[in-house]
Amino acid sequence: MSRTRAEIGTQEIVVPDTVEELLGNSDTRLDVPWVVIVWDDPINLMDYVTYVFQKLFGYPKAKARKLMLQVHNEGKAVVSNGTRERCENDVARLHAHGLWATMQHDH
Amino acid sequence: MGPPPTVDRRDGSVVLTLHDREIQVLQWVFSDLGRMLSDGSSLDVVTERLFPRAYLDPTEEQAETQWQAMVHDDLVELRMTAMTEVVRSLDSAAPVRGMRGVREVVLNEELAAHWIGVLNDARLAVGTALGVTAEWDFDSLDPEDASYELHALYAWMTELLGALLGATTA
Repeated sequence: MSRTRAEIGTQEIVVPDTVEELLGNSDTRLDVPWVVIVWDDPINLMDYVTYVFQKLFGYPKAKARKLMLQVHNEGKAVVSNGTRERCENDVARLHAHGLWATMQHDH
Repeated sequence: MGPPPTVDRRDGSVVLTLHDREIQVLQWVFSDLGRMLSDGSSLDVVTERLFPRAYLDPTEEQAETQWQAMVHDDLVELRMTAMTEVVRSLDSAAPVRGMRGVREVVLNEELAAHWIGVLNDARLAVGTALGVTAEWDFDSLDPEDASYELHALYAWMTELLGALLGATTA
């Protein structure tokens, strides 16, 4: 990783390249949003997953079904995004309905 | 289990028509699931399926621990509340006139949502315990298999949930 070095008097300082680096740990990476992913599983019915997407996110049936098919065909799909708190809440709601959901930074 | 379950719509409600034996089986399944949820006595794989991790990234272990501490009891309570309502409706199923040994459960929208959730939890628990995969096919199972009856129960609950979803979202 490249860093900019500067010298003030006899003290050498390392200047971070990015805000992210300056802020340090992942908790303060405010510029990187979170995403909620629903994973395919062999038990949940396709109609059930569509029903849950409609119920939780208020999606029309066609959009909910398209998202469900993405989960089914590609193994996973991003179903929501936003702050850590919002995504933690969405994951909890999906788990309450038996869907296999996780969250991660949107890289 | 018996013939495919009957789920209809009547006057804006969803009506489940069940045989006495099917009611007994559901009472047993839901009672077992309720006990597992309340005392955490289920198989590890079942617990992990019903209460999965939010974070897969191992560097988020602290956030995962905090999140679990924040939501786990609520997730158990939500499931138990739905279970209580479903069992209550099952216990008060009304005999169908002219059909011996047959009862019906009339569900409003909220109760239908509870039924869908509880049935799905029961399928998740039984299906996970059985190790069901995407290739699962009941018709190819050996009736002599020790877990055949449990597979039959899983297949029947799958049909019931499918019929319930069809009637609810019609």
